[in-house]
Amino acid sequence: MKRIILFILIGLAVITLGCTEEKVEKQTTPTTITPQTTPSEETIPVNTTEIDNLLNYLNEIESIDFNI
Amino acid sequence: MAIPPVMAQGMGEVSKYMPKMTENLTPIITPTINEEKYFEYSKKQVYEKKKGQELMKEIGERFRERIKELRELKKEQIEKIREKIKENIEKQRMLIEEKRDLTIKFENKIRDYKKFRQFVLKHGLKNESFEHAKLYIIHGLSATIDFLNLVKLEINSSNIPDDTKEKVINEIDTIIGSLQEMIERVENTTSPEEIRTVAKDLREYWTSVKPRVKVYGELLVISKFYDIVERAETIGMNIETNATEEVKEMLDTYFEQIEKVREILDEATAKIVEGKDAMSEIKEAREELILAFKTLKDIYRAMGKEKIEKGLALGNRTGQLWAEIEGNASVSGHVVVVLRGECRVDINKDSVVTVVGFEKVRENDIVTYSGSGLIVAKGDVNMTVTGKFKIFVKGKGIVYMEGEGKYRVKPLPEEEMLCLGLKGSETVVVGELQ
Repeated sequence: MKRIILFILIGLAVITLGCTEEKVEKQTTPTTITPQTTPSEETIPVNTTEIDNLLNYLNEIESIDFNI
Repeated sequence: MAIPPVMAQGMGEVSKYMPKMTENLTPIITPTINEEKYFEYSKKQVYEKKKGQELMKEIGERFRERIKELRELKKEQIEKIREKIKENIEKQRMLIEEKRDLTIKFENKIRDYKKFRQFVLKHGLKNESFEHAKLYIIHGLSATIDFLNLVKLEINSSNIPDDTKEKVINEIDTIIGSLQEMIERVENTTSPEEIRTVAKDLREYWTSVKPRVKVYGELLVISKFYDIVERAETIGMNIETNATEEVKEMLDTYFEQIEKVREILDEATAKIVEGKDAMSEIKEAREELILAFKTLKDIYRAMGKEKIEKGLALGNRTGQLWAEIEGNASVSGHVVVVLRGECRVDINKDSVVTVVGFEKVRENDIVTYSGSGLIVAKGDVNMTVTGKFKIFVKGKGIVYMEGEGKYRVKPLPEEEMLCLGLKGSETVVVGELQ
């Protein structure tokens, strides 16, 4: 009986070790990360900033109220 | 001036809203031709067999005469032209500073208006809140006055016809006067009840004038839009002087997009003239402009910023000119010229010319093109143009312009780009001439 239990225990130990090794193998597999290079945004010498500022001013004027 | 002032009819035209209109430069070259007759040359029908030979001869003589005038300008005359440009650049710089100061004042007052308004909303009109309520209303009114003064400055420096200009300015002055009266009334209040009464009157008045103030504000935005569009066009034409085949296709898209923005802006202006709100057009124009800028970014990416900025090798002390003209122009010098429009063009045969769309109608020592499209000429260029066109000149040379329109000039690399209206004739020197 003892031999049978011992045999089962050894068997379980072997299976467990086998699984663990497999896990370790999986964990050690290197994950290749391709560096994401964002192309640098080209700066052009003209934009809508001045227009946007004026539109903001116009919004400010429109939202003025005199509620007391 | 016999040239039909098409661009000057109605407020809906682009030329009315050009950002700057200072004193015109004194023409050093006196117009010597019958303008009306010369303008007719741009029409295709003049090349009919009967009149053809005679007109071609006259055009040839006219070309040689004008180019001779430009080439024989004396050193003192060139200096005089330069001095005038410098004076105008200085005037424009002062105007820009004035606008900047007014903008800062406006921003500060809006900030204070919000601050005091927040306080009053939180604490009501008890005790010290009463004084805060006065400041809240006064800052709101002052910010509106500053904004209207900014609009006035823009209208005053634009090319709006004098009668329209006067009408709009008078209306703005009336509103400013009423707002100032309100400020005095608020300052004189001594109790919460009194300030409530003034605020009630003010609300009624503000509701009645707000739509007009908005329209004037939109006029200011549109004026800035035209300015940006012209700058964008100048950049595009500059790239065209040195563009690769791939970039040329992208530039065509870019110019189409820019033109679409112009069309929308013209629609917006027409609505404003009728007293209607044009915000939807303004927003549409902004979206289109962003698309154009996206194309410009692609062009920069394809061509390389350095190559674009370095440009075509024309020496160190070069200048630039961009103009939108209905009339005629003559160019002489070591330059690169980019021309887009519907016009007749005479060019000396020994310059390097690329033509898209135009039809060649004559060729001897002068090559004549007619129709519409794009022309790029490089080298020692002598050119005359008649019709409705946009022209970009870069290098060292003299440009003579006659007609209606506007132009931007950067005489030397270290100088600022000056924007002026064209009404009559002007002579401009670009780059450092030997």
